[in-house]
Amino acid sequence: MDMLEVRDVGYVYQSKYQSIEALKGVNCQFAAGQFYAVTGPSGSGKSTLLSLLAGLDLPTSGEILVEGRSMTAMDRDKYRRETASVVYQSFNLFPLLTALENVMYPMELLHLKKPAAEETAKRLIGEVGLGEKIYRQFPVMMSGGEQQRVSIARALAAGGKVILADEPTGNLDSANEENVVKILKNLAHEKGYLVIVITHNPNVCLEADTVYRIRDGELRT
Amino acid sequence: MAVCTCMLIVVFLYLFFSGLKVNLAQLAALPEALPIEAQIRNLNGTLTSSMMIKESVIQALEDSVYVKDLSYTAELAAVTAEISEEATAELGQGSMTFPSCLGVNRVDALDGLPAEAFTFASNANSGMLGGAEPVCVMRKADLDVQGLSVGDNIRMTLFTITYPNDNAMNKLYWLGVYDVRIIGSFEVPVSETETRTAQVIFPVKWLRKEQAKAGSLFFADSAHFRVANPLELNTFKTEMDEAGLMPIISEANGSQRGNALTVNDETFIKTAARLKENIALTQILTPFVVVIVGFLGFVASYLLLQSRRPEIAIMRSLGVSRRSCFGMLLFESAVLELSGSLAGVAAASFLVDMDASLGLGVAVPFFFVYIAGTAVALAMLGRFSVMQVLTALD
Repeated sequence: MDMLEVRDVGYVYQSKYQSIEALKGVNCQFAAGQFYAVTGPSGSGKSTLLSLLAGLDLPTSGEILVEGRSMTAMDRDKYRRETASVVYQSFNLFPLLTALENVMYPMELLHLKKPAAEETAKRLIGEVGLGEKIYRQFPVMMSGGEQQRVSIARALAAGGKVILADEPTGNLDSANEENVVKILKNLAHEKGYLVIVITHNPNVCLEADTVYRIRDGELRT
Repeated sequence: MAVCTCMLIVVFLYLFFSGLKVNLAQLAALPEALPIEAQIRNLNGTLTSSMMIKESVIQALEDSVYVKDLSYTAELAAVTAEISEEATAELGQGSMTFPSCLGVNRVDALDGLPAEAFTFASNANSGMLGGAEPVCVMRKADLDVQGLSVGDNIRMTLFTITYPNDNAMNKLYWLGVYDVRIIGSFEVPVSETETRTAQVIFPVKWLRKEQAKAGSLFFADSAHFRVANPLELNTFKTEMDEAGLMPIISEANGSQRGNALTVNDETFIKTAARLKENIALTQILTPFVVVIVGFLGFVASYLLLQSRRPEIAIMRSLGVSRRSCFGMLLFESAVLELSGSLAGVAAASFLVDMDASLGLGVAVPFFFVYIAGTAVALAMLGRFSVMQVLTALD
């Protein structure tokens, strides 16, 4: 069974003066252990699709299934806490928390005891290739690459099996870009995560198992 | 930022309402701080004693709720011999043993004669001068001249003094022969020139009683008092007018009739008027201040939360429910507001006196206004698109 299934999904941004059809009858499936790239020009609906996959919004038409269950009927906050995590281009770490505290945060939401959460956070920070010296650093003290890796560690912290990344390499130099893509790919292939990356970057697309292209709200493989 | 904003607003509110409270307290304390002295004079204001003040006027003053600390005196003369009423016509004030005597209703009725000037017998006290017993207090020098001591009884013929002809010529009226106990003595301070001297002092109530028994009219020769409720001066003046006391008329003749009243209320009225103006102004401004400051608190709270949209968006993206976000931020806002308010009350109490009830009166309503601002801001923030906020940062 597919981990995520998008069935005939449409999405309309309704404002006071106009309505924009961001997605039109999109159909696609995402399986665990795979690394997907969704690409397309700006304004094509990529981020809208990610937002729907993350449960931050609901489709105007159609439905999204999570392991066969419609997302509409789910507790979407719980889905984000336990199943899907989002990694953003600008990292979106809490500025007043250290790297370790940022990674521990999703575990605290799951009421994990602090020593256990700290131990897991340290392990995850190690897994994304960062050392101990990062633990007590605040985001402002870290490089872009470090922040993005901390943000990936945070995405892993809740233990969910879906990682959604919105232009994760957009703010990184080529060395860090390569590193982050490698981490995401390994998570998919070696640890069984479903990784979906929204990207403009052809290098990322080259690493993906499947690439979806969106143009004017319509999806093509 | 939130703490500083709350602190400054609470300091401002505290100082504003503290000013109002101080003005109200000052106004309430004004009668004690600036007592209004009133004195009965003759019509053209030239006399303050040796007048004829009707008993009805004294009775009206005693009965009035606007009069306190009333002091009045009555003039009389005494001779140590027993003299019949018929023989009075041949006597003048010069033939009296004690030509200058006074009836008083309290020991401090005589200006310039302090309580320390009196010495009383061990079984007597100054309060007895306010009673109606046949007792007297005698000037020390006269005691010595008469070879008397405190505690002795003395037989005296008493004469009341009146001024029936508007020409300062007094007339003696025989009152009776009395055995009077000397309960104390007094010495006139050497340095005191303002002292109204008397040789023997009697309780005026006793004299009034004796005059009533004898069927003669009682007249006081001086009276002064304090206005008991100066904030109701107009009512007081109407009552005094009804008692027959008029304002001074400088063109009137200088008769001995004590029927004018002077009230030293100028300073009181000026001060009270200024305080009342301040209070009225503050009270007029109060609704505006409350609305403006409340709005400031509301807006501050709203803007502070708006600036935290990205943080809220991250929390939402990590699966924190809208309700939990709301509760967490409301709690945080409440803690910050309370800290700021406490700091504000503490800071304000350095500037003015600490007043716990005022502190609570300011901090508690502001807390609710601030939290209302937070709640509205959170309700509005609840509708934003998490993805839009987080990708807008990219």
